[in-house]
Amino acid sequence: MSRITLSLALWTAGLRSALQYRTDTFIVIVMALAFQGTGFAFAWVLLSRFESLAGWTLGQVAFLYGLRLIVHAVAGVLTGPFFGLETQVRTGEFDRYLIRPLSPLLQFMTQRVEISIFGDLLGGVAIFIAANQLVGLAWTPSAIGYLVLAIAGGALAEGAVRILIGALSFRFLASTSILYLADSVFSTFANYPLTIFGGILQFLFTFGLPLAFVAYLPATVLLDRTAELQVNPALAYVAPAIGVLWIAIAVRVFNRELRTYQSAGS
Amino acid sequence: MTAVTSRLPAYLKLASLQLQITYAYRGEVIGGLLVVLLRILLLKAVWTAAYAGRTSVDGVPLPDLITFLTLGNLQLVLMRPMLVWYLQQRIHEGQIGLDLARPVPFLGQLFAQQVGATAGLVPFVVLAVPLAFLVGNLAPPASPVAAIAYLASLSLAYLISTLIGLLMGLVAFWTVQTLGVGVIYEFATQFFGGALIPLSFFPPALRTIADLLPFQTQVFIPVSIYSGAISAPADIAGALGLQVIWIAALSVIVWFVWQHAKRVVTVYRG
Amino acid sequence: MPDPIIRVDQLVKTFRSPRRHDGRFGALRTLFTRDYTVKTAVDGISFAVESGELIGYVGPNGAGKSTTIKMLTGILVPTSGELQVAGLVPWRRREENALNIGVVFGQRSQLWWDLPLIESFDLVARMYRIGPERFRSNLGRFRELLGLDEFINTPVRQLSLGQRMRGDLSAALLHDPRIVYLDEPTVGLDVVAKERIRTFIEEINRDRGTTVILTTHDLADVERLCRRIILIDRGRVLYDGTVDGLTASYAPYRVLIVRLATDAGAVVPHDRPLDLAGVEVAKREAGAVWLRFDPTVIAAPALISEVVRRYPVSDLSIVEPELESVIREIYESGAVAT
Repeated sequence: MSRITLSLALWTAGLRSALQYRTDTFIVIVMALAFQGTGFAFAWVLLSRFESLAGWTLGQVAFLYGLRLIVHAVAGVLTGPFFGLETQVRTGEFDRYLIRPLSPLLQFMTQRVEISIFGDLLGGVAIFIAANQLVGLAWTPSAIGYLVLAIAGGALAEGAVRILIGALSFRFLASTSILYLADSVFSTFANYPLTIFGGILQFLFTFGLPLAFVAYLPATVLLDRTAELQVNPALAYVAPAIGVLWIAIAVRVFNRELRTYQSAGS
Repeated sequence: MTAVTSRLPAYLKLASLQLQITYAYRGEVIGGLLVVLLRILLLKAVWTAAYAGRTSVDGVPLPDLITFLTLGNLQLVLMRPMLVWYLQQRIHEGQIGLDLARPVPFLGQLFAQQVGATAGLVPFVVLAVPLAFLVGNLAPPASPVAAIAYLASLSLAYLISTLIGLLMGLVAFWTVQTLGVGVIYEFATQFFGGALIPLSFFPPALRTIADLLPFQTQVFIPVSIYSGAISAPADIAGALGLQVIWIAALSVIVWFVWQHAKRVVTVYRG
Repeated sequence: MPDPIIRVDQLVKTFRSPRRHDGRFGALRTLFTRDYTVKTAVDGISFAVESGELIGYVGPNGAGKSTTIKMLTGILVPTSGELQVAGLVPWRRREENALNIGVVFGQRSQLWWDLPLIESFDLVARMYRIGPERFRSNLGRFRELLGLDEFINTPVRQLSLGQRMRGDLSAALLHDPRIVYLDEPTVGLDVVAKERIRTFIEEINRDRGTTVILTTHDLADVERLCRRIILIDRGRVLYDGTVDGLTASYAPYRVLIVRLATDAGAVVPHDRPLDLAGVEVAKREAGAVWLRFDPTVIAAPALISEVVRRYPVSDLSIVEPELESVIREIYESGAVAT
């Protein structure tokens, strides 16, 4: 329990650190909104002209889109700093986490909070709420419960990928560009129903990268569209658990790679 | 014109310097191209699903549409206004005084550097073309006339991009926070340029807005000429003419802003 | 006799880095290369530290000092050899070891850069599970000894180097660690600030019995604070003993500067060496001669009276060899004198 309060204290310190830069905060949030906004504007205009996308109406696509943005924001809560891991390893700044009595991974993740997550969250919630007007989903307690689990599980899945790529920093000293690429892949493809992609991509995004688990699979459950799935619908129902599995693997790999860490000499 | 030719060696030197810098950052260039290829992949998948088996919608066949978008997105890579970032960096580092002190017109310097940076991108874009063909689609131009007109239109579009980039860069003389401007520009050109959805599919209200913005001249117009959507000579002339009007308008604005910016710089140095 | 608090035995650390390929596809070839260059940073170091010692760990750049410290603090895993700190193997039980130690890097801060200094202390207190009583008492002591009050509410990034160093020191000692590693704590500071830091280090070593390992290039630090010095170069221990012993065994000489009433050249000829045992001419200038002598062969008073008897002396002074020149000579010759 005390570890959780400690993590929370560290995280809020990271948040306060980031908020010291007032103008940056504003700009970053606006940029995040613009980025996500363009993507959504595309889907919106497209679906106002065409009736559906692989059977998904505008409301349903917006539902998926908003859900994914929310998951992306939650994933960023702790994994935002990974874009700076390569630099910290190279300069030896990473050493400071190793001489404190706490998991270096935890310390690293809470050192600073990426403010853009608030932009993503704002946009995601707005789109999700608007989508719900269109979709008219009945929010039963079990649906709400599943939604919470889905968001958590999806965030764990996306976060796990960042942690795994970050773990590369210790052996290869290059991870930032790969992180940006992975981020692009997730941001580009995770917002859409996977059925629009060919079989190979669908397979890769389910059993290769956990892209499907970020938002698509849980969305099919909530929107009652599991019939369209190529995979066993059960996989969609347990999507949150897959996220937990991924994070468990990612943390283990990270800590193991840490052992091979050779910090920069003086 | 003699003024330009006499300074040509200086311009060439600046251009080649930027070319080398672009090559030095080739990791990022390649990363950026990969992102664009991913986007093209997505667009093809989404549009194919939207067409839902129909061969053509609103008179636009699906393969043509994909060519349209593939070409448009590749174009945007080539037309990235590199000097936005260059200017912002130099101004923030306080180095801008050095650039201004050179015995070569400042705006000429910037243009030379932009061309150099773009030249550095060209080999990578050329390498990406076959991949873009695989991921999206790339049909040949509608006709030889279309091809020539396309090249003309592309050059004009490049000028427009450079002018807008210059404007955005000059903003750095006044504000400290300039990072957002370049990024928002990228989204605006993609969306309102018609690189995500051809403007012909836009709802009327949005179409009006798009028509008033310069971004369509950067993507939609050149690509429309290429694909033959704009084929009648009168229409082609009209489209090119619109680009020229934008170049003129932007040049005037840039000149004005530049006069003001020069005053700000002297305040800086004083 | 209690066990040493730090025990290092035949410690070795080698780094393997891929041989860089140049030319075309250089980056790609480097990625797949089988050629490695092996660099031995630490090549069989052994020493033991008793609790409460204040040791200077000295060596030129690239000698292996920071590598040793990184192994002691648990940052690096040794290639071979044994290492025990307060009964634990640091890299195996890293978090437990962290509770026993405090570390200050001169070049890098461990404080929260954007937040007021006091918040760093609060966070450190939470991390090390320091009780409110101990926190208050320790912080109070540091505030007094280091004058923290004037900047304790300022964000760390706005602090001067001296202030930041005081902050880092306090943060490192807040949890009463048994051992503290100080890596270049006085680098870049002015004379007053340096003295303040040195006094502080001396006090915590004396009052709390905190074992201090001081890594430094500034030999004034060592002369002021350390009774024992470990000299390392090229990954090996060159000397491990008292500072006095170092000078005595390696540079057992003193220098007598004699200023003459007339030109020295005429009085002390070059071609005839001084016929005194244990004395040689180290340097001469117009009007002055530097006589290097071995005090075990001829005592200072005896030499002085002999010189005054022979030459028209206008002034005399005796100079001790500087620690710096002694150490420099040891680096250059690579010899060990124990």
